[in-house]
Amino acid sequence: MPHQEESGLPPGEADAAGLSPDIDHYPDPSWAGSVFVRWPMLVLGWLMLAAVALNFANIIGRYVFHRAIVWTEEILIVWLGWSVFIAVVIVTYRGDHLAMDIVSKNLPMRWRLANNLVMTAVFAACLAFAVVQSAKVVLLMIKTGQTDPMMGMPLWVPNLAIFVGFAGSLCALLMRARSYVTGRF
Amino acid sequence: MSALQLTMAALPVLLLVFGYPFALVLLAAVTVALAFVIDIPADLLHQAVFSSLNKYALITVPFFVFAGDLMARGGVSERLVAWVSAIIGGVRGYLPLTVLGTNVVFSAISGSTSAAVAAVGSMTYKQLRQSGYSERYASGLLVSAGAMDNLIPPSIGFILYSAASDTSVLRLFTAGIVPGLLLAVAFAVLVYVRALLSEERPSVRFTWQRFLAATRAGIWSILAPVVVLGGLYGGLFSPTEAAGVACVYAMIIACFVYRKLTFRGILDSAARSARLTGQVFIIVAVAGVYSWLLTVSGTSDAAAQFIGGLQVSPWVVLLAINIFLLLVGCFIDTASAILVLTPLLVPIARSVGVDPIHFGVILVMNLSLGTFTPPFGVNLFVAQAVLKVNVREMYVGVVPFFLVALIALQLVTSFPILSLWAFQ
Repeated sequence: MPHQEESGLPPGEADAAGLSPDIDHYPDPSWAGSVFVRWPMLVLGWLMLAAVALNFANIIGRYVFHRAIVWTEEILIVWLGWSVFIAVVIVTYRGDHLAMDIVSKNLPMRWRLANNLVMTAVFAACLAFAVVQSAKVVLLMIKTGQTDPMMGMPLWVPNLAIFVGFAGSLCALLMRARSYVTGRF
Repeated sequence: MSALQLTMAALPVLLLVFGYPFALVLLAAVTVALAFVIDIPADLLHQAVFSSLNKYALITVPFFVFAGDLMARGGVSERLVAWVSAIIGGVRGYLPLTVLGTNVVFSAISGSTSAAVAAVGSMTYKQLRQSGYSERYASGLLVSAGAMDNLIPPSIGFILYSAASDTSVLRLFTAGIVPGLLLAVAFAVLVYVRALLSEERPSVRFTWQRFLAATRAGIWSILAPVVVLGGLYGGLFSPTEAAGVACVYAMIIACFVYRKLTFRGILDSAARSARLTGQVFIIVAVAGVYSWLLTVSGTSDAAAQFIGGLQVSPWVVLLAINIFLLLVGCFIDTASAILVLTPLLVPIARSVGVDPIHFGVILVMNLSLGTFTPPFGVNLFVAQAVLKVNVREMYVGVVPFFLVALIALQLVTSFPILSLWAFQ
């Protein structure tokens, strides 16, 4: 599954090794590339910087002003959830999910295509199942109006990230179904 | 074996063999179990995914990934190489030893083996080759040395194990120090013996002048591990806060001290780090549901009871687990293997009386060896991409380092005190 980038590395590792292209140079200039990769990447970048700033402000507040920002933990946990589920849409669109493809890669072409086709169908079915379950929970939370006791934030806000992640991944998968089947992204 | 146990154990293995992504393997098992096998509300899937990520300690991972990326791009690694080289000058095999020493220091500020191989490799590989070291030896050394990053704190491997096994991150970090240094010493002995046998003469001598100049030039880089680990063990910060401080520190020196990165570069690095985190954390999220169902289905307990029923010595069990993990490490990346295997293996380890912290070190060390073993060791891919080395030469080059690392692994497995010395 993980395709090779220009660096020759699976994309996740290219990220870790600092070899993947920056936000403005992703090789897909289409509108879908913007919606599923470039804009979410910008959001992820800004959210990460905001999270680092909040974490640092809390430390400064505690040691310099003797007043910690009590809701830092809650906000950072919400950030982590949103960050992960925005990222997973990008990962799905680019076919970057971590996998061990030693057997499937060496199958004869026809079998490989059949295997990829089944895998894509299974992926879509599982994501659809997750979207339905997630929607149920989020709708229930909106209906009951549950809030976080520390900040008073509605609980559907952090939970919505899971729905957005699964639904966005399903859209990304359907957009790239052909690439998933052929193995070429 | 019940239908649920079959779904939770056999289905994932089948899907893994056919190359399904790890997140999908777990999601498919969970979906089948919830939709067709087990009679509990299926919206548990959402709630368990939410709970899996609802852990403050996990925030440490994206922060340390970001800090490591900033330091690798921000000119920290080249100054660390110069500083370690100035210390080791005059010793036989000083250049390979510089690689090892730099990796140890770099490991104390970064949690990613890929970042370590890319950062240290790009600074030292050319120098090693120009000094007459073969492609085989130089590449073998660089990819093997990167593995230490998984053991020396801060280690992403330990953070993931902590999340999957409900153990303390700080305890795991502490437990990893001696095994990480032991691996470094084992590699250093190999390098030194080789230098003695080949009658190498050090091309650079140690001088106080050179050392002081390198220290002055690299003081901000040298202070990075002091800030991170000092704050952590000095009780000033929690692991998450220490990771955040490492990011701020790295931004300041990359932007204002070394002037290697602009704001745009920092934003790119932040986005890349977040995406990388998402790629791993979607497995964390689904693994939480999978792990919960493993417990409910009694699969983990059944495996532990089966092993316990064999009445074999704990050492036999650990030896079998070591062999299994070494094989797994050759094919599966460290993060995925930790997340998938921890819920299954920890109950087995507990059933034979192995401390979960000690077991975490064993597991992470085994999988660290997998980062430089063919065919799918991730460090091999990174070295291939960054250093453009011949794969066959690299495969042969890692053999002596792998054998030495096996000895270190055996010592860590046999002597729990090496991991648990701080908690006795």
